Amino acid sequence: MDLTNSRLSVSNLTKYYGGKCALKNLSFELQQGRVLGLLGPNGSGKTTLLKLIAGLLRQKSGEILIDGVKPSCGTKGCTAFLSDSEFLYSWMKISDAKSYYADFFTDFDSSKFNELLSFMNLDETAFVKSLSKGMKEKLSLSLSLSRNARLYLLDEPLGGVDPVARDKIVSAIIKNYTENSSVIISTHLVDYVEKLFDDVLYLRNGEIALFGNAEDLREEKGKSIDEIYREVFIND
Amino acid sequence: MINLLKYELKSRKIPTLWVVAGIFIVNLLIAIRFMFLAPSLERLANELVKNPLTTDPLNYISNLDPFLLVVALISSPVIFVFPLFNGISSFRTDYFRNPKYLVASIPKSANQIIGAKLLITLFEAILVSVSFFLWFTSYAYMLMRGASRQYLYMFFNFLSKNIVPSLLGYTAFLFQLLLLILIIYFILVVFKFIRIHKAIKIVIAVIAFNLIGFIESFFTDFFGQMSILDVKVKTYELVSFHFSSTPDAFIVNIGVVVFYISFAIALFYATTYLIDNKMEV
Amino acid sequence: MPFDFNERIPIYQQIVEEIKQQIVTEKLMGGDKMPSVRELSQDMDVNPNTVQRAYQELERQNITFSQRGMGTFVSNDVSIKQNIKSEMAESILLQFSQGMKSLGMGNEEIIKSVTDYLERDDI
Repeated sequence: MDLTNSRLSVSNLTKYYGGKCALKNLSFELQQGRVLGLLGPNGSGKTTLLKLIAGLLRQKSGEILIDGVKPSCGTKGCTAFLSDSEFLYSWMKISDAKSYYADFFTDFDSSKFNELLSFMNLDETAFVKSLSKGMKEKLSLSLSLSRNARLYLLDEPLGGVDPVARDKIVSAIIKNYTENSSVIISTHLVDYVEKLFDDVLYLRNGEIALFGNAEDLREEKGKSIDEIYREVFIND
Repeated sequence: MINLLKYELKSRKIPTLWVVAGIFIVNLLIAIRFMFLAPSLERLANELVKNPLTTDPLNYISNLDPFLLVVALISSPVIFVFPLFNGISSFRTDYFRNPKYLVASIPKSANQIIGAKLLITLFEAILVSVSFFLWFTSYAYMLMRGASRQYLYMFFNFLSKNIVPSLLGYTAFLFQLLLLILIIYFILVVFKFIRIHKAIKIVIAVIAFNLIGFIESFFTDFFGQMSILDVKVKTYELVSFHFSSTPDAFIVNIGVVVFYISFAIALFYATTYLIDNKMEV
Repeated sequence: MPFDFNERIPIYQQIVEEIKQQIVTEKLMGGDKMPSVRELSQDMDVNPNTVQRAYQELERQNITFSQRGMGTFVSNDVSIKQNIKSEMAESILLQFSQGMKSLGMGNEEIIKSVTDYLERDDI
């Protein structure tokens, strides 16, 4: 058991895709009960980082520790990864997805899921195939947030979603917060969600451009997280 | 594991049900036809015995009947092809299509996932082959219905005398099916790490298959020649509803059996090791 | 109700100001129980840690106090409300006088325009 409060610890993480360097010597920590905003343009390495933490990719060098444990079968049981791609079986209805999660994840809370479903105006009997992109996002998020995970990795939870749905998603994330869990939200829609962040990490071309506490940064620079984003990535 | 089996079945049950239903319907039609056909076949048989050279089979049966029989025989590869196809298809869905993100994030090891796939494939193979066998023996029975008791007795005797070799042969058939699937799984996984042109991959796959076939036959011959490894398996026959042993024996080479089982186990663990430790999603 | 805030200033500071505002306008009275961190964060749609920080700041300024197992309460101290009121008045006055002075008005002129304005019937 890890003695510090550190839910996630990343040290000197490097990842290559073929010859191209996607992440270079990345190091940072995330405490328990905190929300980290992972910010950067497309291709900056956000999804790569989240997938490495989730155990879907292998790093070239460096270490990732979740509560002191490397990403593995064990950590998958307490890490909820929200992919921005489709991931459910084509034959599934929403109720099938719910059963699947309930069967494979011991931390899944079915009643929480039912609540989220009605909050998102989704019908359990609907086929996943028939859902619009926005509805699929809402479903994916509901599935992930209904798990009482220790670490949530939300990759672009607001992508391709209408403003009303965005509000709901943001509210759902806040409602879901517990002191025991940590959340990483990667997004390029910064202005909308910056109020959720405790800490922010600006990722540029696989390296940390800026890392700090959101409120401190606001105070220091007199700017919003979104404005700082534009500053940091002005040349991209 | 139970959950993996449950969802494996859920994903695959529809094609399986269609195939079993298909076998059922086709064979039902053939069986109905045979019911009308049986007396004619008996007459044909008697005529052939009396006048082998002048009897024209088409006077006794229509053109359609041999055709139906051939259809039944030709469709028998479905016993092998269908589970093979389903087993490979479910692997590709779970590791190379959209569900790969889901499958990669559940806290189950590749051993369990692949194990579940193989078990369900085995179940499908048994289901389809047993359906096939039941239908086929039922025509034979219907055919014999009109025949004398002697023929009936000969039929059952034939079946019973060959039960042990048949069961062993059937087990070997199921094993070979699963082994082939494992080989394909292994090759599919290895190909994920090789970044070369698709056409070259096909060539390599063909070479790999031939290589594996060569290894198999090498070891089969190698151990097969060692008669010290031969094991006699008794055969039985049905006499007045009792099984009694016959002087014939069926020979099984332990070396070959051990080789094949070890080979399958090695392939299984090599594949799951690569999936759990090297493969990316 | 969703809280409309300025993202250029630390959010927790804005929450503190909002609470102070509610105390001055008597929406929150001395001795009232404050909503829990969780409740307020869901209400305002902000990160609970931010609300937590705001609450800590309010306690530090003695505007609120917490009782173990019972929650956080608005201070009963009458002078607290007075202090907030004068603080807020001071910053409004600062802005006001700076604004009026930039129009070129002197002190006398400023006072007269305030008096005239307040005596109008239509405000």
